[in-house]
Amino acid sequence: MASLSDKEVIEYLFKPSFSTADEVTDLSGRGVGLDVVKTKIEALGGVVEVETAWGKGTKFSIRIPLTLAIIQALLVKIGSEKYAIPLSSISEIVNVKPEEIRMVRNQEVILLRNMVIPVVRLNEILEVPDSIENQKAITCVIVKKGDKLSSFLVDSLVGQQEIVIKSLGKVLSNIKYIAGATILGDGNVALILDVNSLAL
Amino acid sequence: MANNDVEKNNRQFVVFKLGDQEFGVDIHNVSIVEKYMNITRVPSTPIYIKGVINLRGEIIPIMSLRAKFGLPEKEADDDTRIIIFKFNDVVMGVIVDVVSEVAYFDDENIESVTSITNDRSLDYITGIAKHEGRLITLLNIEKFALELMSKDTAER
Repeated sequence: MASLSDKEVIEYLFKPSFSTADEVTDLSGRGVGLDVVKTKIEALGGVVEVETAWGKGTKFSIRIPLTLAIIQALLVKIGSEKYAIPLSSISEIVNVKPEEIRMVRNQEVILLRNMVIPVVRLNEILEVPDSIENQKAITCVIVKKGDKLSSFLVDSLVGQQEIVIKSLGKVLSNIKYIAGATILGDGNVALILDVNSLAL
Repeated sequence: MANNDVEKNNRQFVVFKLGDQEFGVDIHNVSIVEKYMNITRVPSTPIYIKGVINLRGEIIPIMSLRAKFGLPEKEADDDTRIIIFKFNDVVMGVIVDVVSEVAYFDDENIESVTSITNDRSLDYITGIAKHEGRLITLLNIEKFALELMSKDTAER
């Protein structure tokens, strides 16, 4: 041990099963914690570093590259389900009264500042089981697909936040209308809508 | 051939139940067995896909074997489990009523399905094991995952 450099000694901290604890508690002592931290961080392409000086203290630094797909999104609620709409696709958000939705050649539309915008009832397309009926004011998220606008009807807005895009996995990689998923702060999953496939 | 090429010795299987029927899956692809947890519905999926779960940060699709086999749905209870499978880099979870045991089955005690039927649509059944007087249907869950992956590319 005496012949190892400081750096090499510190690397021992992260080795599996390495522990300096005399006793194992339910939180620590097994030599597992730091090993998991290093493995998980490196799996994300990051690094864990340690700076330490006797009598002065120890600093653990975790660096993760921002190449994780992070986007700004609008979280909306349809029924009891939460969905995320990439902010980059959103033009604006308006409230309309049910009477303001009209039929033009078999297509529901709304009139917004002299623009006729087709309506997309997300609750129907996504077959949401408990969507709210008969609202007095309907929230419309106006999205853009190239030059064209569509109006996505949602039950309510939750808020805007940054989300990490997670893939749905190979088995569900080609699901219509859904671009991916994100894990919300409370651990629940919100699906990310694929605006291109939903917009008209 | 319906059976996978196998070393001619004992293989370990996770045995579970759907109602009274017992099934077994090769432990080789079983990643973990989890208690039932909240499933987020995913639209535009076959009826037997219940949605996805968040398993410690990983999004995993979940299939109901009852629904896949056309059995009536059952409310989840304390025995309900989700068996998570990993086939190379394809991950999928399957809901079962009860996980009963992990058992070794000798090739001698496994009856090939082709000796019973010629129906190709049953190719997810790799055999029937005779164990302690019970009959356990051995399943190849990977076939279900592959079926889903090939179906989706056709629909998009």
